[in-house]
Amino acid sequence: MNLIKSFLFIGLAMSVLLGCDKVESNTYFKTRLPVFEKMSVIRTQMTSVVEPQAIEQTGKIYIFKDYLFINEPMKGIHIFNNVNPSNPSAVAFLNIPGNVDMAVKDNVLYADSYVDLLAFDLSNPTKPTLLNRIEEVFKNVYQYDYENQTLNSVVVRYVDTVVSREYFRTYNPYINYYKETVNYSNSDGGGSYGQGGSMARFTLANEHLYAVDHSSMNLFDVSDKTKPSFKKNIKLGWGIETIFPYKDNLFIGTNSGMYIYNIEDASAPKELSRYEHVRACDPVVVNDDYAFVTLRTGAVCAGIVNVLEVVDIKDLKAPKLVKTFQMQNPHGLGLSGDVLYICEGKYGFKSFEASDVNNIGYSPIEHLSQLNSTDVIPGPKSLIIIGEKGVCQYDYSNKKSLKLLSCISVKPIQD
Amino acid sequence: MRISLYLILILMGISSGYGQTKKYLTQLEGGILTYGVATKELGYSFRGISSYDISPSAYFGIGSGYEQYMFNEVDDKTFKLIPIFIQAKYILKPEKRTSLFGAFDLGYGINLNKKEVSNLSKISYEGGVLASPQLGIHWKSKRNKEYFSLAIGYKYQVLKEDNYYNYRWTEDSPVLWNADNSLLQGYDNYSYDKYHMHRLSVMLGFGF
Repeated sequence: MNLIKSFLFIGLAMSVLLGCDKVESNTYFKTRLPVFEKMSVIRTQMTSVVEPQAIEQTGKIYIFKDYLFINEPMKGIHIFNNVNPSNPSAVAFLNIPGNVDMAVKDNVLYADSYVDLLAFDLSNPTKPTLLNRIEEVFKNVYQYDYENQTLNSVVVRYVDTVVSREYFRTYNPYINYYKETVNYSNSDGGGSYGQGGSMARFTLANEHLYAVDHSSMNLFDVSDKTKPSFKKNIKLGWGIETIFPYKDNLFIGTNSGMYIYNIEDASAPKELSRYEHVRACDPVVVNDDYAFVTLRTGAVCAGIVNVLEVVDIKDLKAPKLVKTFQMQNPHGLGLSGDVLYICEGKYGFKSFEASDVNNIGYSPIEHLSQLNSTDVIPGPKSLIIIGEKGVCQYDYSNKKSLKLLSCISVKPIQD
Repeated sequence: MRISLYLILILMGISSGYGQTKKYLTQLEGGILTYGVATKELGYSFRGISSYDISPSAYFGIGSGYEQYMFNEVDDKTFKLIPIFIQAKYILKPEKRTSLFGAFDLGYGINLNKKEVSNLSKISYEGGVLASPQLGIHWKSKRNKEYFSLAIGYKYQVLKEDNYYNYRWTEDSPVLWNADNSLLQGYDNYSYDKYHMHRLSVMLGFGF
């Protein structure tokens, strides 16, 4: 019996020792890494005007005189002679690294280039020449370079790479912790202004350029067109998306509402009111009495609704909601007389009778379901619609039926 | 499972054939594989061992069976395997009806988990080395031909998992590869996990 007791004693002693599993893991995964570059290097790379190039991706659009400007995000601006909207012809590509937005006034094109603001002479729109560069005005574009631990570089592109990670962990079902050892190897003021869409982040009004970033508005005095000067940065709060000028007011679309600023004193915008709505992406267009705001769902804005809101702005200090209409996925919008045009992304392009604001959503005129659209400019000669597949122009003299004039297609991206 | 049953039956057959000579021992045993005294994430083991008597106290044998290891860290994995091993066994007092014994198993566990292939992933498993020292006690029957055993041991088993998988990498953009990605075999992620299972085994056996 002594043997049995000995065994039971040793066995019991062994069994109270908790076991555990050790796991060696080697993981290899694709990831997208930013490539950083200093602005001093980027400034030397700008080659200005080059031969027309195929459009790979569409960004913002702008019309000025008989010219159509299409931004290729982060690369520059495609310039088209649009004398005949039925046959726009590419005349040049303005190579501007880091460009995402633009505005034109008095033959001067203002465009961003990462953190800088550039001014180009458009006297000859086929050959813009650089007039001036204001450095480091959009400092929010700077990204932290974690390798060099500096904040004076921008991300010029991304590379896909394979990263490996080795780690060792211990698993014990009775203990809720893991020990890890990781080895890592647009305006109608004075002058001659261009016209932008409702998705624009740059706008010109009253001799000033207003440029919004995610959280603020940068103000530039452009009265001396050869020497635009940075005036100030106005903090607006997070989620700024679009800016739309109308008469002496700026309507700023944010993902939580619409801000109205008075710019009678152009150098000192004065906040009149804030119209709050649920969180969503929201471009804005306005007329004398009403603002039309589209709210959409999207990964970027985290919205939960897809609607058109009509807001009474007769009293700019107290905007109030008139009516909400259900939409599919409204992006940019444009207003021309009594017709409201709404880009519904992949759901197409729609026009509505807007004379009776209480019934806009119930008064559809036309639905081009196959026309992928993100923004629209009701231009003097044509209705210009931009989408993922390119830029199309329509004759909209007959509001009941848009007539296709031309399309500038996007070149498919090569893998 | 079927393979392991065949193996056990073969071993039993061999043993039975030689059982009359007493130089050979056949032991069938079954028990639990646990992390400790409690029974969370309990695995089990069934084995057959055929041993040859190299001295009155020492036996040398081969064994096989069927085992399941539970590993519920993330996704309730169950590893199934066939252990194939050699065993050295020492009976402290072979002449007594009751005796302590010690045994040591060394071998390889063949993983039975099937390859899992879908559009999004490809998972395959491999087995690995096993080692298990045990301490136990024998009770011989009155006929002195059969015995029962109870053994407690430490069980080490290596298992490997190759996991290729994709998730949300649908952006088509003209980006550049700056690294060799052939290792990923067309998937976005590859992980190689080597599990070192450390368990307590409690086995009840019957030998003849």
